[in-house]
Amino acid sequence: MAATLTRAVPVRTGTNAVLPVEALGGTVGRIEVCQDDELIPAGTGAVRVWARTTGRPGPALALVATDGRATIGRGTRAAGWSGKTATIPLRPVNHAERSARICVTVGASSSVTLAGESSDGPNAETPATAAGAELRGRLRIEYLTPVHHSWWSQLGTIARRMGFGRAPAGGGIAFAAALLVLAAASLGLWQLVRGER
Amino acid sequence: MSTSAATSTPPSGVAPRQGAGRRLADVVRRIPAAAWVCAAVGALNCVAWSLITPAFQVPDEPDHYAYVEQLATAGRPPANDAAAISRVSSSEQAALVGLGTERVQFHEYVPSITTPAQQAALLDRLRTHPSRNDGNGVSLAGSPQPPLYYALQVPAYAVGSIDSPLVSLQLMRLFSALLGGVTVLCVFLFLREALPAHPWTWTVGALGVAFQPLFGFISGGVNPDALLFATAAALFLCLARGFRRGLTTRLAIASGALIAAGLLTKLNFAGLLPGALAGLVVLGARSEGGWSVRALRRPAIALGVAAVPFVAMVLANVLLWDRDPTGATTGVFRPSTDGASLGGGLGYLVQLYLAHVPGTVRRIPESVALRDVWVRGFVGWYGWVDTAFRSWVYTLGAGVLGVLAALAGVSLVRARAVARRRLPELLVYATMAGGLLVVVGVNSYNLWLQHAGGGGQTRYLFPLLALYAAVLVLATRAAGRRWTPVIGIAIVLLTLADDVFSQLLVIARYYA
Repeated sequence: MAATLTRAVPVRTGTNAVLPVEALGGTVGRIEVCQDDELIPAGTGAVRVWARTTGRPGPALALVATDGRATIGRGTRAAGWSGKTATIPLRPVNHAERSARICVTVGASSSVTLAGESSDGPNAETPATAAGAELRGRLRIEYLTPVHHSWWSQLGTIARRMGFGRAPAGGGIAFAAALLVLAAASLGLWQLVRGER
Repeated sequence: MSTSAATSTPPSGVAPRQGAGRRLADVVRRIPAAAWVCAAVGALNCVAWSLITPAFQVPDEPDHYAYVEQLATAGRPPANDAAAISRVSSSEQAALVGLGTERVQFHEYVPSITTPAQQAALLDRLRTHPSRNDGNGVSLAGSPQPPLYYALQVPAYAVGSIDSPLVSLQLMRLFSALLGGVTVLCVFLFLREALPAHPWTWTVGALGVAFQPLFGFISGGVNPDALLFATAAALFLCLARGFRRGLTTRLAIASGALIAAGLLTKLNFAGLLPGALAGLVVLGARSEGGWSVRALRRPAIALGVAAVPFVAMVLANVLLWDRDPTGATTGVFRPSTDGASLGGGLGYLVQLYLAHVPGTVRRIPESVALRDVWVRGFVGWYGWVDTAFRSWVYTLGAGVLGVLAALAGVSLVRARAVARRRLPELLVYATMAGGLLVVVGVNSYNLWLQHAGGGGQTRYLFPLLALYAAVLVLATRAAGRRWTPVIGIAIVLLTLADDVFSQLLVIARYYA
């Protein structure tokens, strides 16, 4: 339990609310993928893009975030990553919420499949582009804090979030749940030990 | 003071009530304190799960909520014919949209609402008090089911209806958690009857259920499984009591009432029926000293008690509510004959419960369903089957379950003389378990024929929790009296650890 609570994990500052429910396309060779109308939350120091490697180690990635003509931040990720997502550090750390255009240059060493949600429908947002050509939808992007945090340090935030979307609401819900688990465990173990004597 | 003495003198009309009340009080008083403690542990754990899991993130919870709402507002269950189209009430819809339920479910990377702005938007939607009367409760998962669990939830719904649907939902979850406590109580008492030799091990078995995380997760949500688990555990208790003490008329009536309750709770209960009826017939023969027409008297009483409410429900379905008589041919249970065959069905069951046999058509995505569906689900698979541990946890869990099964096997072999003597009882339990597996498997095969979907969830087998607890007790006794406390405490601690880490997993998935 102590090991779990003290383990450092990346913490989300927000997402673009796009679901990675379909493949938007696969990359072939070096290509630049861009997406407009992004909102980078304050405190963001890394960007996680939903790009799945196709068996081989993922290619090098280079990210540029711009707001109009101004560059908000840059970051790179060396080749060799794997899995469904790639996390690219963003420097400098963003201290205020900024609207942005995110561009990721995908290296040529191997192919990746981009995952997101189709932009069909009247209220759909602008789709992402690959080498200037529109893809069928938008790419899922998550924004993360620059350094990993332990679960322990996140307890306050998690407790506050547990109080949302329910009744009764409030951070006391997390406290009540913890108390109930503790009571159940204590009572059960007490009965076990008492009965064994 | 004896019961007979108490009932001989009071004025007529009062006596039966006092007698029944005293009998009930006497029964309650005879329940050991340890059983109450275990039941309280189970209920507390389920309440904790009810607070940890976000609203409507227990499988099919929106459908079951809508069913209760339909009963409470329209006074009748939802239509269950194929033409019925689902219409969620404005009130529930406001909650579902405000919570982003559809985007959260099945997407393990989408958290529950996490910002004050989202919370404010949800409250704004609910503050307008959208109608609770404009839904129809129709759903694929809920509408085919009988109405008992939903009817019992109506008071909790009604109390909550003075505020928002979220209040109704939480109160309904608390009622389910109470049923979770009842399940654990019945499991403890079942162990006392079925495995009376070492009283301490009953606590191990009951706590093994009380801390079972998937049980806590489901019984901490709005789902008829919560009542199904309780009625099934109580039925196992009645049968075990009958095998140990004989089938009395009162026990036959109780068994019949539980069969009725089960049949009126969830269609899957039908799987337990053949074994339970066979058990009652065997018990009837035992209590009369052999097979005779008279031996069928008490089983017939049980069957009669079970049949009356069931027939009443069928009549109400047909005459009052214009529903399918049992619901067993509607919604997810709508039968499909296209491509159905006995061989295909048997092949499907083998794949569903064990593994894909090389050279046969693959019907289940997982190559070893026993490991990748059933054991995985048992160790922990939450939300809308979208929240899982890393794969090594399941490997470890499978190993632990394998060791427990082996230890229980050792106990059975050691006690083979007793097991042989109690063979009819064991066969009855095995028939009940087999019947449930067949019913769940046939439903899944039917779904696969229609949607190429199907598959199973471990919770479908939780009506057998009493037998699982018996396995734990047998495992505890495997290595002799000296090691019994060590194994027993290890079992409870491992289950507790699984429970706590499961809760952390769910918290991380929805709130981090």
